[in-house]
Amino acid sequence: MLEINNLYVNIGNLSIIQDVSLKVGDGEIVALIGANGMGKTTLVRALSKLNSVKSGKIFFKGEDITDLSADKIVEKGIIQVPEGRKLFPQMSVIENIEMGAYAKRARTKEKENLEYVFTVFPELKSMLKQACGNLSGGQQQMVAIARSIMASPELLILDEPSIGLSPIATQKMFEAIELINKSGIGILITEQNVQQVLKMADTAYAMQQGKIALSGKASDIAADDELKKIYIGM
Amino acid sequence: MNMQFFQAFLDGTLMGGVYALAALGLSLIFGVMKITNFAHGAMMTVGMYAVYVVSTSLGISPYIALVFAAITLFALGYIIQHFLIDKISDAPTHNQLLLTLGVAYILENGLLAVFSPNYKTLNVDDFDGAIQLGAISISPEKLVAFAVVLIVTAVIYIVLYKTRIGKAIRACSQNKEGAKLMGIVIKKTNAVAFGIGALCTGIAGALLTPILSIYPTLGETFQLKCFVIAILGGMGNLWGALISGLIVGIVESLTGYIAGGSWSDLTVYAAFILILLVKPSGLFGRSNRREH
Ligand SMILES: Nc1ncnc2c1ncn2[C@@H]1O[C@H](COP(=O)(O)OP(=O)(O)OP(=O)(O)O)[C@@H](O)[C@H]1O
Ligand SMILES: [Mg+2]
Repeated sequence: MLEINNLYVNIGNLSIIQDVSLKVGDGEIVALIGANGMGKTTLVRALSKLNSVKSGKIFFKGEDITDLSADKIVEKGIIQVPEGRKLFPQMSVIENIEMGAYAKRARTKEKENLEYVFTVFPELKSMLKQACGNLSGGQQQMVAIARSIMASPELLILDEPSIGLSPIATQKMFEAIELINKSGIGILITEQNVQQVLKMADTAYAMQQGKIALSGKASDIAADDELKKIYIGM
Repeated sequence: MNMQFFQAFLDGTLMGGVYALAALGLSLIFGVMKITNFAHGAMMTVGMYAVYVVSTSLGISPYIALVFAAITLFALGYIIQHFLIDKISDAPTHNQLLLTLGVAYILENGLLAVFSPNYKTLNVDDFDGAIQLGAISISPEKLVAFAVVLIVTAVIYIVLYKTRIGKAIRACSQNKEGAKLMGIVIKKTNAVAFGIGALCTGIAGALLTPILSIYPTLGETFQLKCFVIAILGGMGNLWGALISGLIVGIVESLTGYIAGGSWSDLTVYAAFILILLVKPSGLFGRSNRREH
């Protein structure tokens, strides 16, 4: 459903992403792995147009979306749960979740999506009135994913959803992501929790210095010796 | 209690309400766009002249002309943000500040060119004299001004907390990128927020027109006052701006009563500096929590 061809992304004058090509098939889970600072966030931010694309093409369901603005990308159904979550700290949990349904595409399905959110994260029901700024990391991540579900994603981009979460919360987060994927939503997930994400993913891409160093079936990548090298950074 | 003291307190409260509304607009603009609108005072003066012109030329009550001023100022704010400030949204903040300062001078000099520097006074015949409550006398213009402030504030509250666009504006002020990722068009929310901020100062100006004699640079004193109030309230904190506005109005009036009018401003600004020395984020300022 998503196809990135030879993408370059600069931040200021620095070339951060170089010649990256990547595909997410319909309903697939694709893992984007790589050590700190290798460019995962820069790449997914460019997909949501928080960073601008220098050159290369992005296609979604066959349509060229390279030049669309952030809001148009959302309307296409590409929704991102960003690094650091970017919640609205002074709004309550329910207000944050409802903001997810801001996009036109999501308005008519707001009720349905909210019910779905509660089947994925029943524990949210007991904290709807709390201000988001006061929640724990795991709770905030739930709100962030809930908010993204409200936007009716076809492709959900998750940038390090497990960061700062306890092992138990991480486990629950991964289960929720698999559940969301089972409903037919494609997933592009960046993770440093490599072993765990590779168990869940269909395909994986390993990034090194802004380039794709390794790609293939997630199970193959998990067994690949190259992977260790990438993580040592050599 | 001393009746004159109470009279001063009451006058201060009523005027403070008008300051509060103007400062609310300044604080809202800052909260959403993170820039200080140096054209806020000049916009207030535009509101004053809008009421003056409409009221005198059509022979209608200034309180009906106020609606016209509100619409004009909303449009003015929207246009300034959409066509000017937004164009340089990637520039350093101080350039955006200078741009609003440039707008202030254009508005002021425009008013000077059209209306001359002479004072203009609106003759209001909506009321017959002050309302007497025992030893206390209440100016009906100030009382109506305060009532309008309450209504406008309530409407702004409803817009910001209950409507789609209002929630989007609040979302932008709390996390701009988070808002973008929800499909919010920042350019639009910014323009509407600036429009609402301008509307606040325009209505404040409209409410002052029956009370004061107006002239093109009158807004300058209010610019500074709004700035002080918004900072005391914690820039971007709307409730803080409202309460600080009342406090400044009351302090000003009580100082005038106790020590004479020339001490009012001195006391307000001295108190302002003292408070900032003790609490740099203002009376109601949040320490800036930043998500990233
Ligand atoms: N705003 C910026 N200004 C300058 N350099 C940046 C900026 N954002 C990212 N970079 C650089 O781009 C590179 C890639 O960063 P990015 O955040 O995309 O990596 P990442 O793979 O997501 O890392 P992490 O696992 O730490 O989240 C890093 O070297 C980083 O220093
Ligand atoms: Mg990252």
